[in-house]
Amino acid sequence: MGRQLSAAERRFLIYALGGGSGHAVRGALLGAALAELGYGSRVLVPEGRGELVRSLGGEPFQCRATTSPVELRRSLEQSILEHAATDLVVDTFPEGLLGELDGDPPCVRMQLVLRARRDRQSPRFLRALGRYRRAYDLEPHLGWLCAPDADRVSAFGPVARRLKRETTEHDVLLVAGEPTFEPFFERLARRLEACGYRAASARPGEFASAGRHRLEPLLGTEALSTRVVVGPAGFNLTYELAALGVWHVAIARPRRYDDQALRAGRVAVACRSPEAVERRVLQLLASRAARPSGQRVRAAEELAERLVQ
Amino acid sequence: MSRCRETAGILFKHRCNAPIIGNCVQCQKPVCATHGKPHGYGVICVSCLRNEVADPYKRGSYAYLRDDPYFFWYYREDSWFSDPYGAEDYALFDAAESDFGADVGDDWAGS
Repeated sequence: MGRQLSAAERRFLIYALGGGSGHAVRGALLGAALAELGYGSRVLVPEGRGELVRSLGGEPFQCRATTSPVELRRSLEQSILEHAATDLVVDTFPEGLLGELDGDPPCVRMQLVLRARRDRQSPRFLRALGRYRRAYDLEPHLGWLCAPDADRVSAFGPVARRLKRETTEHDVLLVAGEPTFEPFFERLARRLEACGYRAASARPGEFASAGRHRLEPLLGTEALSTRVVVGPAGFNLTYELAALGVWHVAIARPRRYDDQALRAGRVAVACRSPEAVERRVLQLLASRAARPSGQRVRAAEELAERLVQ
Repeated sequence: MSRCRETAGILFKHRCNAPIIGNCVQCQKPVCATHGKPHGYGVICVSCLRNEVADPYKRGSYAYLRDDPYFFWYYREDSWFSDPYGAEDYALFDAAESDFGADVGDDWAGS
């Protein structure tokens, strides 16, 4: 058995590749928390997300988007070497986003951070789980993981930023995670305003954008101070709202891996039609009920403390 | 002489048989001056125009019809608001209902 490395010797590389900005946000928070604990940390993100990582206190390695597993593996190896990483923390994709981790594992300690995946039963995913020293399930409350090796995975719970609530002049915030939301949200806002409520729209263009469908949904604290937020059921938005105690009327979006339908149904107020969204928003606003604080959301620092053990 | 074949009424359907002014640009039905509404360079019958107005996306373009008794019911306030959402809005939700995620491309964006 090898010698125990000191904090000064251990250097973490966080694999935060993937679409959307959820991986990068989580990776940046984790990287910053590890740095706070005195460990060297870098966050591997797709090109264009470096600023996002820096703005959250992380140190990025940027990796060019590719469809080639070989090229992606090469980028990963280069990042490990450049950072002299001793630990690799992989977010969401144990097999690698393109399957680039399917081969021989790199000579570093490998830990895994998991959120709910739609392809949880796929042989590739199940095979890959077994390669990790430790794995932490960020969504154990969804009961999504039913793998034979599930007992190797520790239930940890969702990790998200803790935002502060501020006063706001709006009752409802419509978070358009994608441009396709905009026409619906315009109509919904008109309907809500006709009922006497003030609705604000967070349009994709208002976020720092890195391409037509790539958004950086860094919601300002003032934006998250509304009574109800309507938006997709992505990991970060869902749990940030849960932590804030703001009602989240969720529209599950199709994603190749992210199980938004499951998350929306269990954690948020899931709606399956435009009328249902409108009805639920009006009900929540009229009732003035506070959102029950049932879902515990943990800080990245808590996860960092587990990863260094 | 051809007679109007439109049967749409304000409240009930009934035969018209009034002298025609032209044929509906959509269904080619002969229509009279009452049942034929100006439409581009031609006329359109009340039935076809009602189909157009029933489409929430197109309704706004025909707002001038709200004072036409043939279309009064289509523009009553509660009728206007009873179906404010269109196919585009429903499509946002349909994606989650059937074959969830199948339309997502094999790239990083859909992960």
